[in-house]
Amino acid sequence: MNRWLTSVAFCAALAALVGAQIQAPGISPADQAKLFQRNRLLIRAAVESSVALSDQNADYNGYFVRADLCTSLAKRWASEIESAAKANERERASELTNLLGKVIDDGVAANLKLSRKQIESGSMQEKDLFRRRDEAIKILRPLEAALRDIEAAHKTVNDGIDNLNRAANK
Amino acid sequence: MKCKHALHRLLATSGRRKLSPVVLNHVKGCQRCQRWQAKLSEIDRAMPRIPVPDSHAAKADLVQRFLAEPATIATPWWRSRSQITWQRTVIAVAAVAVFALLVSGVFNRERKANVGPLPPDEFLAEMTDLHNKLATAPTEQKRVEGLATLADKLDSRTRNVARVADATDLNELAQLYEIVVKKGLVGLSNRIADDMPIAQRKTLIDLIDPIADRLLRTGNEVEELAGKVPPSATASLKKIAAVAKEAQQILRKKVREEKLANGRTPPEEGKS
Repeated sequence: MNRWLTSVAFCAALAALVGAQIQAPGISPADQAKLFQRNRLLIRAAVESSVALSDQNADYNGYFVRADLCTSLAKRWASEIESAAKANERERASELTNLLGKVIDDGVAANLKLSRKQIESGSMQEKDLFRRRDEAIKILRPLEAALRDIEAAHKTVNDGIDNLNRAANK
Repeated sequence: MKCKHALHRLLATSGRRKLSPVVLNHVKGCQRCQRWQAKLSEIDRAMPRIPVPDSHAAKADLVQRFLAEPATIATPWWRSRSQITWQRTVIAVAAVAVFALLVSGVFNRERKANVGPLPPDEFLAEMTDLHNKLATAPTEQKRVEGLATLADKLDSRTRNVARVADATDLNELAQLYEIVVKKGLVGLSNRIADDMPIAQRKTLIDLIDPIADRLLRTGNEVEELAGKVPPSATASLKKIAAVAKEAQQILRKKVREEKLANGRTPPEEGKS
């Protein structure tokens, strides 16, 4: 009887040990490595853009430069989204479009909106503002066609264009 | 001794057995017993000459039956109910349950995480969020905080994948960490200038001070980890450790200078 009990106790301890070593739910290190490998260029672009953004003050010139930096990042990502859409990688295209939408809304449009407050209608600065808006929209237009079959992503792109227009308008 | 006892003895000691002196004395003086002894001796002598029937066939048959006899059949466990007690049943069930947990635990741990397509990239999403926060950061403090968080995320991701990622990717992560720390954090600290309002300078210094501590911790921890990872990961981790320690020294010096200039006591190494 003692031998039985000892065996069971030993197995229970072993099971507890093994159970404790099970990693918490989430992405495994191996998947994290694969994801980094796949998105390495996008991450580099985001990090470099972040550091460049940190060098800009929150003033009139700074808003424009920030909007430009975000537009450059959006351009880099738009090209990746188009590739994913062409390769019929719908999930990847959706995921990246969702993030691109955030860059457009929280990066480009947000800074255009902040600068708009300091710009008079009909001024030269307003033309600069509209030019920046149009550059950003120009990046999004091709995606409208490329993402026609992916409803949510298509909507994100359209919402982004609307946001840019609203941000630039007085 | 009586004849009866002597006869019993004679019968009991036929063949080669020797009679006791008491019996021998009696037989010597008793004719009846002598006759009995003579007849018994005759029987003894005649016994080997009695013809024995041929028993070879019977013997062979017996041996055959012996060899052919089935082995003793053990009582099946399900019939030996008398040996199964409730305690044994409980222990057996517990043992099976624990074993099943053990096996499932091992398989769960060893299971390949990547069974289908890759999951959404949370790290990329975090990088995007931090990027967007920096895109609209209203103050330098917010930018410093954003950069420090970015550096932490990169350091943390590098440690996570240090044992599985290839050297190129780890080197890329280390380079990104270097960009954020040297160009970003140290670059911003260098912008703390004399023409900056004192209150803003103080706020920035108070912000940079704990960041220097974090960098020192990162440097030490990553350096320790570098000794435990595959050789292909060592160089990248050492690079992060070196960048962190170098930046920590620069930031610490900046803090010390600022505090001395403002008549405040500079912190000791590694203590904010």
